[in-house]
Amino acid sequence: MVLLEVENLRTYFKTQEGVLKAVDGVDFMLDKGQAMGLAGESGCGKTTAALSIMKLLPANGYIAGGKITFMNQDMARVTGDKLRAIRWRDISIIFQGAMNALNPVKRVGDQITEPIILHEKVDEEVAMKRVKELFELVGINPNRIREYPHEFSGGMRQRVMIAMALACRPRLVICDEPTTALDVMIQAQILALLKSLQKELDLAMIIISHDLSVLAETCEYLSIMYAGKIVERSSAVEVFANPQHPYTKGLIAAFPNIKGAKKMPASIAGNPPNLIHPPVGCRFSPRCYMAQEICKQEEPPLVEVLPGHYAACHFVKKLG
Amino acid sequence: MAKDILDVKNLEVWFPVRKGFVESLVSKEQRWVKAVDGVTFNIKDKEIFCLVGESGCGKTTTGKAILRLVEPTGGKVTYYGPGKEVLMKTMVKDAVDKGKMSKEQGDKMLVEGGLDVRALPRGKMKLLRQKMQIIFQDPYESLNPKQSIYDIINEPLVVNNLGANEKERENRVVQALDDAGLRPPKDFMWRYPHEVSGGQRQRVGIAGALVLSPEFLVADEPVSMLDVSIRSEILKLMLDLRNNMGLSFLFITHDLSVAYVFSDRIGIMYLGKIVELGPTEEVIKSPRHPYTKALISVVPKPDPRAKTDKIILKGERPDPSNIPSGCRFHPRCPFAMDICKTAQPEPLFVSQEHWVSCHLEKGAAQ
Repeated sequence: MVLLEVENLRTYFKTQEGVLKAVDGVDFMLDKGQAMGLAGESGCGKTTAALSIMKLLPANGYIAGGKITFMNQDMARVTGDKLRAIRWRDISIIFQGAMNALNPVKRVGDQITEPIILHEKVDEEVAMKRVKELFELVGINPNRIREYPHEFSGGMRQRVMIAMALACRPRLVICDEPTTALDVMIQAQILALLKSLQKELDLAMIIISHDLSVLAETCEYLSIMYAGKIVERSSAVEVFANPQHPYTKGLIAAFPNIKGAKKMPASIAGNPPNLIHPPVGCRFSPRCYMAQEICKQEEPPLVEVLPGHYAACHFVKKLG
Repeated sequence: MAKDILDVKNLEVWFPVRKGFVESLVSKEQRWVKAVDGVTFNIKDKEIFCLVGESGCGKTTTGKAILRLVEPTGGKVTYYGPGKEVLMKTMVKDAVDKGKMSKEQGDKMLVEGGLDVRALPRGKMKLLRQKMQIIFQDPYESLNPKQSIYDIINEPLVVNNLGANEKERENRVVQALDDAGLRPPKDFMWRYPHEVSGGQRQRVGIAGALVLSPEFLVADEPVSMLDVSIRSEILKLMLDLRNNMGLSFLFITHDLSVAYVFSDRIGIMYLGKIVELGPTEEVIKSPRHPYTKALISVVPKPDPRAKTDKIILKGERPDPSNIPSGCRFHPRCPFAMDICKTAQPEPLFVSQEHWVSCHLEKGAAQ
């Protein structure tokens, strides 16, 4: 069952220098219970794409085109109370650096009961009971609900944020860099938790990260974004085993692999482009080792290269 | 074998815990946060030595204590770099001239051909820090946004009274920018930090250290704030500095995979102590300490098919103000035995340059 469908999404920002095209034609689909990873360098528009789904854009941002369908509703038409009902009940988000997003002067339990009481119109006792269940689910001692955020460590606070995101039993959770500020050991704990929650609750997830290795461990599907566009999309195994786009190849090669030989990883020369004046043609062409004349003139479409494997490059062969 | 440039013995940095009023009435005992609690290692000439550990294990404090940016409370740091000769001459001459020190006293600071860093008077550290520099983690916060890149890099020269005139200083700034890979330097000199990318900012940070022509650099997580795609460029720059200019590095990171590809030798730190130390490839490919094994197992691999058995340690690191008895890792160790709760394991060499502090090793040896 298709839970979320994003078609040709364009999200722009008005800035003093001009219109910044943060997301410029992004398509993807997500089934129930599926985890998709959205990868790319900082500033490639991955967070903006996620915020567009929840309509949480800052004041100068707007959706300039495209269609977002979530649970058969056109999100463009959903506003006001209806939108508020969808947020948290159906879609929730764990923000980047979420562990610092807790209110320091409120007990963690109270912070989590708030959305439950608001959305489900239950009394406090029922809500508290739910919070205790949630704490157990994410691996925190339920007796700690009356503690304050400063009494929790970074990893534990991240668990609280995950519990909070799950408070109203959403279908879709968007995790924006869920482990970026955490230690490797805590990161492993949180990733294992997300993975088990996905199975247990049949949760769909969009995990946003610049760290391909984190996504490799948690997601079945991967979309690679570059300068506001998806350049490659397939199952995670396919993307790693058989990368088609030069950018994907470069990203994978940039990762030091502790299991492999001791050698310096490659880097991608240059910097991501300015999205107010993006390069003509393929946006990756100024940094691409394969770039030819055509790349500087024509924008390559996202085509199916292998069954279920899409890439946007002039030098990939279309299936069939 | 290569000569050492730095030798650290039993380094300790303890921070006193301030007591509340009530506590001061009931308890006379002073409690300490033992951030660094007996760290011993050496760095060879032109070597990249890497300290790895979770946050709060004391790796950054170790780096800062070597430069005396935090004052060590115990142990010995000896610097063998060639720059110390010049330094000693200037320093001793200066002190003797002013009648503050006899010549013998100055000579005492030279121990076995090295310079005892902790014995240096505070005011003289500035001289030594020309030879020992530090690069910080966050290139977004460590640069003054109101200064041009030229001013940022020129400042160490002004502070240290180096360079005879403006022209000479400018030449050194240009050279440092060039060495840090910001080419052509004239293009970057008059820009402000917000006008360059993250990777270039970190290069500015490196240029700021290079302008003093140091011999030894402490690099504290220099790439962890950068995108993966540009990380290796910065790492390669540091490798070039080592190969072409003969710099030695203490590289501090929490990222084992970066440490693996980049360093010559590696020390794994846990709660203020090094638990395992050896040549990088040997430690990563055949780790001996249970903590090292666990750390290696949880590094995410960029390959979804690689299904490895992860050793996910329960809980988080204990509080360094209340260090567990015996082996400090025993509460989280999957193999803890009775002896681990009472006795601290001594370092045991498992090969020529590879040692580990674990009671399991002793058991295996017997």
